[in-house]
Amino acid sequence: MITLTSSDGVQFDVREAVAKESQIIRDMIQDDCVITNIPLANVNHKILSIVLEYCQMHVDKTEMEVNASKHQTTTGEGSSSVPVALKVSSNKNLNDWDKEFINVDLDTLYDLILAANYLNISGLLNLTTQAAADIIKGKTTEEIRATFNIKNDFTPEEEAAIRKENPWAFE
Amino acid sequence: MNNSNNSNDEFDRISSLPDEMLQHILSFLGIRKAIQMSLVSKRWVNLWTSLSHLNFDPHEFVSVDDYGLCTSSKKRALDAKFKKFVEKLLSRHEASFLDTFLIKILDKDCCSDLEESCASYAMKFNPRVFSMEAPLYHISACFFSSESIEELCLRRTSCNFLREIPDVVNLPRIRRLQLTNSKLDNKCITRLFSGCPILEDVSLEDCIGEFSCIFNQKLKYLSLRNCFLFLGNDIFMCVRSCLGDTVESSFGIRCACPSTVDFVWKTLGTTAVGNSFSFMQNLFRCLDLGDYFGGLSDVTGLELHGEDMMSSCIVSSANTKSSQDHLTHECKTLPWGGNWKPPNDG
Repeated sequence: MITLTSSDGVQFDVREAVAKESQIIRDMIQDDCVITNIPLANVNHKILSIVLEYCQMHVDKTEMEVNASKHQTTTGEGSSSVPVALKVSSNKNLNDWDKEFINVDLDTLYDLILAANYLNISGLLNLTTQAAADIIKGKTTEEIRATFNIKNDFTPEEEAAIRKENPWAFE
Repeated sequence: MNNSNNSNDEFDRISSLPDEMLQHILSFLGIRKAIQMSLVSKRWVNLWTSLSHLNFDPHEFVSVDDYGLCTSSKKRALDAKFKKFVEKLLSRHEASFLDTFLIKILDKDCCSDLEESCASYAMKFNPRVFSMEAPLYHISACFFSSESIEELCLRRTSCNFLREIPDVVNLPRIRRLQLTNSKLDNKCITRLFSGCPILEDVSLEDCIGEFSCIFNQKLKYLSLRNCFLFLGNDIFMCVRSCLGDTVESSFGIRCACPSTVDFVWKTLGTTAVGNSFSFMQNLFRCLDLGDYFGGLSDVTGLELHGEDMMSSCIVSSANTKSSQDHLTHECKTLPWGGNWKPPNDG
């Protein structure tokens, strides 16, 4: 077990495999194999618990598959009679789970993006930035500003200049 | 996705994310949309110029259906516009590295220079992923010799002649390879696999070749579509077959034999490790459905489906009188039950 401490001092005890979903934690454990307590200065407990839920789910799924195939190879007799493990479309289930998991408010989404980047969890970073991109897709510039509270700081001249600079993208 | 209702509601948090993360978000948008994001606010201006993922899709300009309906002069205009767009963008792109380069080129007549400029631009950066869907007149040998490529997809559109694999293949990091319209004899395949030591996912479409040695390779995923296979003295036309952890329907037609046997199978998420390829070999070797089942010792689940026009001949060699009734529409299972369990199960 590894203890992760959030920026606001809350401790989470997790299995090493779960913590190792994060590349930076994986590196720390590799460098110092007796490390048991890792303080995470940039992630508060609310976000860390969500991140760990993601890691836990992905580790569990992977382990289930590995165990299934191990089971198959140890129980089979000859190599030709070994049944190949069925994944029972577990990838699909995991994708559905991810989709449900990432249905959060924008503030949480930004925090998750930052946490995924800080902890270097590439799956979570892709999931969260993809979710942000999906919100942008299909919206006009004005709608995007409204959705994200982005203030239009261009003068009409500046805006025209940008359009003129890249006419091939706006035409 | 809900908007938050807390005190931060008026605060523009997305723009305060670091460049790297905004670019990560932009890379999931189409490239045209990514450029258009420049208009949102000053924070977003020119973030696109250093994107490490480039995905050029002409369908950002015109939908697939609309393009199909266009007159040829309109198509030419759209193709020219797309070409100009790509060339302009590449001339302004200033990334220090490039992870992914994807492009679809629709134009059949004058795209060879665009193909070339894209290939030479992208390969200069040692990308991790390269994909080109194009008429591919000149297949550059540079694709087959790269230290960085992990995924390579070369889809040739609207061209009937077959391409050969270059003499030198050196892709030490490649894991995924997708090819179309290729001729793959035993020598080619041997060359390909010795040049790609960690390849685990291969998709071939409209290919012709001797695939017997592909089935001996250690792959996790293999997909064959519209491929003509030579195995021993038999020729198979494999309309679609797939082995790996996705669920796909498939069928192969065995021909040039004294008696023709057609079959349809569906692998249900078989994890393709080790023995899966003996499954494949057994499948192609079978002479009747009885042997066919006997050979499937390493598949834990099998569904047999009849699919549209080929369905009537599926059980022609099986001893069923009512086969036609059972296979007239989609997803009918064969008379002896849909889910087949291996004889040595448990």
